[in-house]
Amino acid sequence: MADSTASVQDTIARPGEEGIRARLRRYRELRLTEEELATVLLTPVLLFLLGLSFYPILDTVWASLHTGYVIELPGQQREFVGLENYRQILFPIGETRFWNAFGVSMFYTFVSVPIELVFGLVLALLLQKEFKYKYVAQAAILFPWALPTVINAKVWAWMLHPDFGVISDILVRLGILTQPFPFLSKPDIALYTMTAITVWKTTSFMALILLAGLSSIPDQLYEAARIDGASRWRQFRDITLPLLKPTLLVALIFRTLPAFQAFGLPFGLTGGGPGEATSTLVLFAQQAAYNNPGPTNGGFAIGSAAATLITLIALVIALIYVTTLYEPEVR
Amino acid sequence: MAADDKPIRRRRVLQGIAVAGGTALAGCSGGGDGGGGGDDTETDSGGNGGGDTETDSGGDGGGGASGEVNFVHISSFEPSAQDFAEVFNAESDATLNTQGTPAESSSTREYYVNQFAAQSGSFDVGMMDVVWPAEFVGAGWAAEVSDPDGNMDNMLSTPVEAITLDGSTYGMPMFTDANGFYYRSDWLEELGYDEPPATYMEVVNIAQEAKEQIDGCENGYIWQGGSNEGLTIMWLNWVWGFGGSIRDGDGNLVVNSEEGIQALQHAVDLIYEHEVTPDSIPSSGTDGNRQTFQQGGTMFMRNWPYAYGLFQDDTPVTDSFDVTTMPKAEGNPDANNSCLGGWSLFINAFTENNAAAQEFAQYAGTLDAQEILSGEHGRLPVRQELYEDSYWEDSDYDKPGNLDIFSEILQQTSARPATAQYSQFSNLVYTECNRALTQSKSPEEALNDAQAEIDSEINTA
Repeated sequence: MADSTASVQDTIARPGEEGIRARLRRYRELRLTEEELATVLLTPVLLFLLGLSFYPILDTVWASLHTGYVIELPGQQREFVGLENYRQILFPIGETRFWNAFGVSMFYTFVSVPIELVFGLVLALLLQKEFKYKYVAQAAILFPWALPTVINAKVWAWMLHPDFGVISDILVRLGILTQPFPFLSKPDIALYTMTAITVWKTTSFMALILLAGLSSIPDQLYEAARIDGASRWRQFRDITLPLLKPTLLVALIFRTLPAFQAFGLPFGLTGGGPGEATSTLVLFAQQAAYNNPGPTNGGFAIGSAAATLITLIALVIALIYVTTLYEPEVR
Repeated sequence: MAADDKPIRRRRVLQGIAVAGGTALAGCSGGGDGGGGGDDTETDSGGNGGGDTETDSGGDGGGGASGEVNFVHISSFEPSAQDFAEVFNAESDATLNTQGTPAESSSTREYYVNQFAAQSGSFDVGMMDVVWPAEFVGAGWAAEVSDPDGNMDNMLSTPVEAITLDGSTYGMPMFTDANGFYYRSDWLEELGYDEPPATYMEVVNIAQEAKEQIDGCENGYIWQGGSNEGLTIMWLNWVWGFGGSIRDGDGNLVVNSEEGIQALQHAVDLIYEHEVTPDSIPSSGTDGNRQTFQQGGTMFMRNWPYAYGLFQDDTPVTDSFDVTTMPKAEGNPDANNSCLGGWSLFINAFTENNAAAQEFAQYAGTLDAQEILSGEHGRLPVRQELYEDSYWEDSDYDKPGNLDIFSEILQQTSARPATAQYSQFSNLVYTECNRALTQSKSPEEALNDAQAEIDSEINTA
């Protein structure tokens, strides 16, 4: 690394010392200093992020502090209301829908992700072994993950259908149930069912990430451990797990945040019902935005406030993960 | 060696990036030009539309509009929209393009609301459910629809009232809807009844008998109990059937009235007390019910007229079902307890081609268009003429079988409350009713909770 920097410095004069003409000539020949190269390469990404990510985010936050029209026209101005929308969400009159959705999302996330992690790790360890058709198996486990979420939701809704569903039918034929069971009509069971479906769908994704992490652990370490007489469990505990930790962090963040932002599965599977038993935070935000636009589009402001709250909660979760699991000195 | 190579390699890479970037830029500007071209075309047609509007207001009146009319309709309307486009495009200088939105009316509404919020003129004409006008017109999203040919004069009064606000019309009624009570006529006969049940307890008794005595009868009575608009309508059916109302003397929306609680308690009892309704009902929807009934195995079902048309096509129930008026509570035989539904056309207030959109709206109200909707697609027409036997004598179609019974049912309809916040109202009602149906709350608790939110968010407005 130091070598290459030095060699670039040899061919390029320090910025302060070269004249404007020399600099233009250098640019024409596409010889850039490290800083200039970084600027050139990062600018498009930054512009992209600013325009398509930061601007909408800030606009959402701004909208959440107002009530009224999304776009202002003469006679249709919106009004600054400070944190009123947040108060309405967090301390509502009547049902506390946001907190119900918060509970649903927390359950959905923190039950499904650990199970996915364990199953995913087992799958990854199995897939790492050498066997015939290994690559077929690796591709096959990706199938559930590759299925678009809403289609997945609809497929499961049909399989769980009380009259025509194949799942009830199988369970009845096996004698486990005496009659078809309406899985999606019972508040608690519906939530468990939805969580199980997401475990089915995303375990393979977890496995894929962990598999990548496993293959980057050098074989020599295991070899040395075997020579020293370490047991399989010992190898797993003292080599695999510590070296897999950075990958685990990535996998956890990659699964926790989308689980926390789940929309497609509850939307397609249950619509948030029965009652609001499977209404996740994002589904809540969507319904808040669209069910009450009213004469002044007031719903969009409430929806924006809900979206902002969800983002903040997600950030907190990500921070907890990073501070507890991130160890730069590993590897 | 490697170190010496680096600057050169990097230079090549950078040159590569530059070339690729240049190409991409060229591509972009090409695309930009294309987009510009598209914009120009749109502006042109907008200009034409504007010109035509002026001509029209100048007194020319009939037709003359040109350009494109983009009609965005609920997906189940697709076949009708295709037929409309065929006829309209042959008769008019304007061209009708059709595009579907999801089958659920709530998703369709979300699509429109999104477009309105962005003040988009990307569609010119849409379809409006009977409960949306207050919201769409109040927000300035739906433009006024003129009726120079007097089509609306010959229409049923309730669909026209639904699109009339402050004396102006904001839509063109297309078809109407009412809830009917579907039953298995063969099983009814088998059980020894001459007439379908007229009261709630008769429904319960016959359904119980059917479940006990008839092989293959698994469900007594199915209805829309899922967390969606269908449940609000079901609950309203019962409230009205018990003689209740959801407006108090001051015009406030009241759901936790005695009849309101009675209605929800009856729904809960159908599942858990009388056991005639399966406990999967709290997650069922309109079309799911239709499919279940269609497979056989169900004695009674509440549904809309469209099911009648679908049951005609060689299904297990084709020759063994019938439909009648909704049952009512004992001692309240005159209740208007079928819920009025139906759809009208509306014109996007942000359209750039109002003249052609108006022309299409006129067309939808003509007898020709109404005949297609009813004769070909089994909808309930809004033109009164089509309910007469004599009208169909000269028609290519036979008089649809559902018209007579549904014209009787239409006499017994009530409308859902007209409020700009109807969607929010309905969402509160069906969510809380659904909680009661899964026994998470008692009916009284559920409706009290709904009332608290209705009072704080809707009745104050």
